[in-house]
Amino acid sequence: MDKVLVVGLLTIAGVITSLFLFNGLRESVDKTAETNQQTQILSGIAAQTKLQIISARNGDNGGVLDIWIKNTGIVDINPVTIPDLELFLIDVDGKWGEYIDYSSTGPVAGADTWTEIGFADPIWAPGKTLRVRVTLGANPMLATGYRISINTYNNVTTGGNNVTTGFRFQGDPSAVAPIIPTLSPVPTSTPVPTGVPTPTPVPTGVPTPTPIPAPTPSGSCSPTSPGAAPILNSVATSIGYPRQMLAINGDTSGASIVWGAGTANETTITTGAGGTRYFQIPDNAAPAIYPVALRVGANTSNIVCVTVKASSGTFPAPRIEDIGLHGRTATDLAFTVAAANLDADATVTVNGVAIPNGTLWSALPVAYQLTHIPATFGYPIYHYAQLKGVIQNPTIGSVLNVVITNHDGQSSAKSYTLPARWEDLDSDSDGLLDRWEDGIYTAPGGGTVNLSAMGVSKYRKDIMVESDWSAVAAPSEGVWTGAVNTFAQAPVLNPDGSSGIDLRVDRGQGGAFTEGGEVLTPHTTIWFGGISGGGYMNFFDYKQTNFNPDRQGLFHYNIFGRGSPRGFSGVAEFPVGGPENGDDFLVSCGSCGENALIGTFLHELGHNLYLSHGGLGAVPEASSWEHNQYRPTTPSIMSYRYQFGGTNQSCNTNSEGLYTFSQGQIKTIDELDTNENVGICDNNALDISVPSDGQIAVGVINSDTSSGRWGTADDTHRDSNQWGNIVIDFRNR
Amino acid sequence: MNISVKILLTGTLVTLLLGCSGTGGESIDKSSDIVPVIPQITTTQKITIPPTDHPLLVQQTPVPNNEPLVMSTLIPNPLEQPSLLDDDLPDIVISMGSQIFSGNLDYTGPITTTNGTIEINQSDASPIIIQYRLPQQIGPIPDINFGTVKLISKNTPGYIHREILISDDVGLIFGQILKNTESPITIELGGPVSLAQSSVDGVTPDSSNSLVLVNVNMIDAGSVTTPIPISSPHSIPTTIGNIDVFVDISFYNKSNPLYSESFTGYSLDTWIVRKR
Repeated sequence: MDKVLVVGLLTIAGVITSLFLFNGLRESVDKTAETNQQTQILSGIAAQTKLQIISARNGDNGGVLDIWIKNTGIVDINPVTIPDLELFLIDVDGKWGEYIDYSSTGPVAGADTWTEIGFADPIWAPGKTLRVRVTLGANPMLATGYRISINTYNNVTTGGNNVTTGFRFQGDPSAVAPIIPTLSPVPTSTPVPTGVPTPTPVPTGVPTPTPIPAPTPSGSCSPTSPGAAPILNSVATSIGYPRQMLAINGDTSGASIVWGAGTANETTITTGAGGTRYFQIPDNAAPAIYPVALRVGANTSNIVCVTVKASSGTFPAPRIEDIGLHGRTATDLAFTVAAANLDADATVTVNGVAIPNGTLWSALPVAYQLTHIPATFGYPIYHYAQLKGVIQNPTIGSVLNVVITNHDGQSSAKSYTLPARWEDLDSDSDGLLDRWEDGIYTAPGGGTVNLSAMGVSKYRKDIMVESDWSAVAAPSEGVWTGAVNTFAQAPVLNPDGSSGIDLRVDRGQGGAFTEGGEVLTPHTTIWFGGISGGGYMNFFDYKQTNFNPDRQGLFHYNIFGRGSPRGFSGVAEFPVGGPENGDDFLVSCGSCGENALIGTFLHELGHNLYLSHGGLGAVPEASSWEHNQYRPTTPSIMSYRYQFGGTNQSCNTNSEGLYTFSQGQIKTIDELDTNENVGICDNNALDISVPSDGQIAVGVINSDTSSGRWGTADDTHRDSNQWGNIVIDFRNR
Repeated sequence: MNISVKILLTGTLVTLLLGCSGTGGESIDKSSDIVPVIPQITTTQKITIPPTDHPLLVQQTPVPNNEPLVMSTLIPNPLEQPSLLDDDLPDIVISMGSQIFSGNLDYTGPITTTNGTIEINQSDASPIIIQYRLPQQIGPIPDINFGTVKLISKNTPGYIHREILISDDVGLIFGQILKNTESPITIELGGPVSLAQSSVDGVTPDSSNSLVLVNVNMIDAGSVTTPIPISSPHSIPTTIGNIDVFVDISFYNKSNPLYSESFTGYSLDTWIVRKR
């Protein structure tokens, strides 16, 4: 084929992305890939393009990684463009990632590079496999899971028609090592001595004796070893999109971040009070690797490299997730407002009045979109951030209408109602008043509950649960660990700036938790209501006997039962109709394995928190669509699809062990106008029909999956921001 | 541009160059030729979100930085051979290989029965194993080695539909049914014999009592012969032989809007063993 034509075809292909999940230090990954494709229309020519990473193996104790990439499209690719492939290695948590440089001369000692092996064909024809070898001299792979992402990037745009080409691939999840939550900081882009002298601290505008080249897309940033303070340990994540907010691990007190440190285009970024702990990648940062440093006064830290990926779609509007309080003086009240995709320099108004002292208080970086195509999502989330401000002389009992506005003018609004009395402040909106969380709660009957001894905090959300069980259905310790971890990892920013929610289950484990863990009298089945007798037990008869009424309004009450009359795996109250509702839930799945029990526990507790199968809200308040039990656009354990096996992060409808609620990122699907070729995200072809028809279709599909009370013929399926709308305060619903 | 203008401009440029370089007879310090290259910071932008010194903002100690959002996944539970719950209450499990059986089966052929197990030996697929623990005081299931099996097994988080009907040439010899429908449930036992739920009217949703018991009757040759007590064993002579029945559950539920998993309809969970 003529060379010019080959290049032309590749140009038409635009950006091709291939993604692979890989388990570090495994001998082999031989899972068959699933691939997806889409047709791109550019300049009036349609071209079908596909790349597939068909295998990856590592060796030399993680120092070498071989990847086989197959051209599975219908387009010839010119081998001279192989060096243009962009190869990223990202750990499965997204905490660490690296753009790997191409080396035309083979491995480079002490560096991470890649090169093709033995490819001598004049064209990279469809069906041909390219083998590349990654030599990881600086950052050998560890025994964890990795994502391999390969893009062809040739600066071709789609002419503004928002047609994004490419496909995503994900290996069989069984090939991926489990992700172990890490509570201690994990270094990202650990500085490695490279022989490049540590630059002398460079005050802005002062000449430096050592020329430092400007960053280029080929990745010329060289990290340097920490020297004198300040020290920059890492930036998390070390890869991001323009405007994405990252966290700084280092000497941030009084510091600014220097973007493009030591180059001709330095940008100093200062956010927050007391030092820059989080910052956003500049809006206009082009795809490249950038040197980043901390600067305090005239002192500049070592260099850490941050890779910027090309923007994908437009940056979404902010979305308020939570409003909280964080202290008050005689006249002033500090408040926090947390939002998805919030800018560090967003403005805040309360009841129409600008808050002049609003400042970035905290953030939660999000790596998820780094391995996805944000433009294919309805609401891609790049980060969560939190502003803090002070209101002067607020009126107790009044409504605070809070509006945040990003620097692009997009905004979000939410209201917060102050209590009728100052002593009834509930700063974190978890239903436990501040004064209770500071000490001991006294129940109306005079009994007490020592909440502070249970570890609660008035500025961090707590969910209290007491659990009892039937002997045959006793949950293992892993059930508690799994459930607690799900809430600990919640994308929720508390007034104190921390992320996650503390789920505290009294299962009789000791300390301040001695009332749960009762082994109940045997039953065959258990449910809400009815008359106990024979093998049947009414849940509330057990509760009457085993739940301390002093805990009413503070604790949810839960039972792990043997089974239910109809075969339901559980049931829960919605938090509607009064303070006595929304606090009871049953898991009735004695034959369920540990993971299914975790999912069912979280699912039923989720109902107590105002979540429904297809979204939000409880009967009778919610419209019927929110109860669709198998909605394809709700990646949440609230969906029957995922309750037992967990959901996924793979833009499909498989159960892949992720036990969480939805964040509302998936685009809306219209059954009457659906393109299954592009699926629900990442242009991942997906049979959305329910039941599956085995077809990838365009046009009208059917995924009406509701039954019984929830039976409605939904045509529109949207995702819901469940984490951002949970109602922990069931007393006041 | 015409030629005269070009000449004028060229002459001007030459004059300027000569003028600039004209230093006469001055001595030159050659060391000054080594001009240090000093890179300049040509562009310095500043993005500053001004901090504030309000006590409520500066006196609170920030918590440690948040790690990037982690979405950890759980390792799938290892596959275990499905088994009965570890107690002495009635229970039944249908499995195929190491999985819970899900689907329908209409089968006539060899059957192997042992104490607590029925094995359906399909010629073209793995055997289906039914493990059971009968309610006390009914049974045991007579040994048979050939029969007809009708099997429905569906498990979802929302309901279980299970019908196991094993018959010999006379009629049903073993049945275990967990069924949920909008109307009263009837089970044909063979010949003129059936079990039938009564209908219930006037049940209102009530958080304390939305679930009411429903009577079950044995019908033989078109007439009710015996009301079946709930949750206790009962033996009934019929035209196809003596039948032990244990109705574990028979109720009608009116959907309660305050409950998440809720429904309106009849449910029946019953065990049937015909004695030879």
